[in-house]
Amino acid sequence: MDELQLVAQLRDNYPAGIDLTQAERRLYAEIRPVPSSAAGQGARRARRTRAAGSGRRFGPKLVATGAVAAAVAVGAIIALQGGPAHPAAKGGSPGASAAARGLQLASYATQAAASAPAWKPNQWVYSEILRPEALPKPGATNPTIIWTQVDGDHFAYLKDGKLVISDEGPIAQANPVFSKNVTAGDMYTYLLSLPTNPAALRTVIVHNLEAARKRRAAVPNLPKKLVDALGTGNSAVFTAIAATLHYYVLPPKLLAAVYTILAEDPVVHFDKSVTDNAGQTGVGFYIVGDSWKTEIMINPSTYAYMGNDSVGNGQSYWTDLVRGGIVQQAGQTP
Amino acid sequence: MNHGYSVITKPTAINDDSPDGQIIARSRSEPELFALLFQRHATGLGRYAARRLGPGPAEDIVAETFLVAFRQRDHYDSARCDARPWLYGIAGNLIRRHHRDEVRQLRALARTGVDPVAESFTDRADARLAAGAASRAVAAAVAELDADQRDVLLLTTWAGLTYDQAAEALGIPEGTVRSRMNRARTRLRAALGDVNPTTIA
Repeated sequence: MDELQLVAQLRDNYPAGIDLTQAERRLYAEIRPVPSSAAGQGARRARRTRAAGSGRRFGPKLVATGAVAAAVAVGAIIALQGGPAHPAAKGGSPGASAAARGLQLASYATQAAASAPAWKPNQWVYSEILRPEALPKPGATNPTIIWTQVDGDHFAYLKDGKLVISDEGPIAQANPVFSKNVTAGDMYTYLLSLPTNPAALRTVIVHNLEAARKRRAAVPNLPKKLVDALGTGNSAVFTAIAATLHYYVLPPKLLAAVYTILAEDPVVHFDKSVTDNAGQTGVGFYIVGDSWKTEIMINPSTYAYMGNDSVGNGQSYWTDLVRGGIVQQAGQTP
Repeated sequence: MNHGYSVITKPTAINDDSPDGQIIARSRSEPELFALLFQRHATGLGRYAARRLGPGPAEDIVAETFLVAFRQRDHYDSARCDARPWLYGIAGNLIRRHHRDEVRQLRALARTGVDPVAESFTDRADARLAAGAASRAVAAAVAELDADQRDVLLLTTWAGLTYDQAAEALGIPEGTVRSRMNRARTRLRAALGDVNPTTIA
């Protein structure tokens, strides 16, 4: 027996397996950032507790970026700045039902988007995203800043403080858009090709979901939970929307159409007051299922998407869009 | 033969025999396919990490390895059929952060005969019984290796990687792997010269 055999036998008699449940769960959460069903009140308390902790940890930076975000956000808000906050800012008109408040928010967002300039192919989409990161340790966060040219020709990011422009899209930008697989270079072309009529847009999403379901079902040995993750019916539409918002900054008219789909959906509820992980308050659309509550958070004054948050089974997955919008050049902020 | 048109081919179906590289390539547009990679390699990776650091850190390392891999899948060369060198390379970077803990546990095993890693799996009595004189000597020898030598040694003997795979995992030339391995073996032979190989447990 040589020295390599001796080494090979060291600790070879220990149990073969370790518990991979959490590792699998974390990977699936990354693959499928928005769970398709939700939990109840206990989960809601858990989210708020964690949000408070996050606010302390990242307080100074996020207070600054949050203030800027509130001032600029997406192009849709430009026409509204300087004016009084809309009633939706306080969760809608007094006495209005939650459903009515949601419709009111969608209506205001649609009005604001009507005057927003259309995105041009040579412009850049800026997104500054905050989310839990695997490194350096679970729970830590780092903002990810990416510029994506609308025509998909170039991408830009900061490396060691310097702007890098690349032909290659970051992996985070290569995820399904409304459940349709689109390459990184084509994603904004695809988004801008979508109808901004809410009913027509919903039809497209339902069609994409069915195609995605067939595609996944055709893969041998794909875990059933990943096929089921697409959900069914209205909750599947909500999940597809939440997953898309998780990765992409939407053009104002498309974003308003999304809000209308959510507001008109009977399984989607309106939350008049939510707090994101940066400590910013807003309103939200959410669904509640057997084990998960998933919420899409919105700035009620600017109608900008703020982030999403899914809690349940003692787990929490969230992403905040600290700032997003259209700019003329890579390196600029909205 | 040039027919004057481009042949449009249907995407290759993914099945149990599909190479890792093909799965990773497809996962760029169909992220859920990456779960197949986890099913294939998580258990082996977890066992390797657990042998080095114990089950607790190993669970975190497996989770973080696959999260990092998923996020970096766009950079993977899909011509590489076996993803293990890539995955073990990512895991190795994470394991290296626990370098001091790893050495401390090996030295504890060598000194006391009680393996802290084994204690994580079993009760204390079992751990003490499991650690014979040969295990203690091997642990002492492995603990005293340079970290670079230990990585090469354990990637090949515990993870079962070939030299070229270990080179890929570590991002170094294969010749460097061989030289590190030679130095490690020389030091091990010197340290284990009087070990009775039949007594290792």
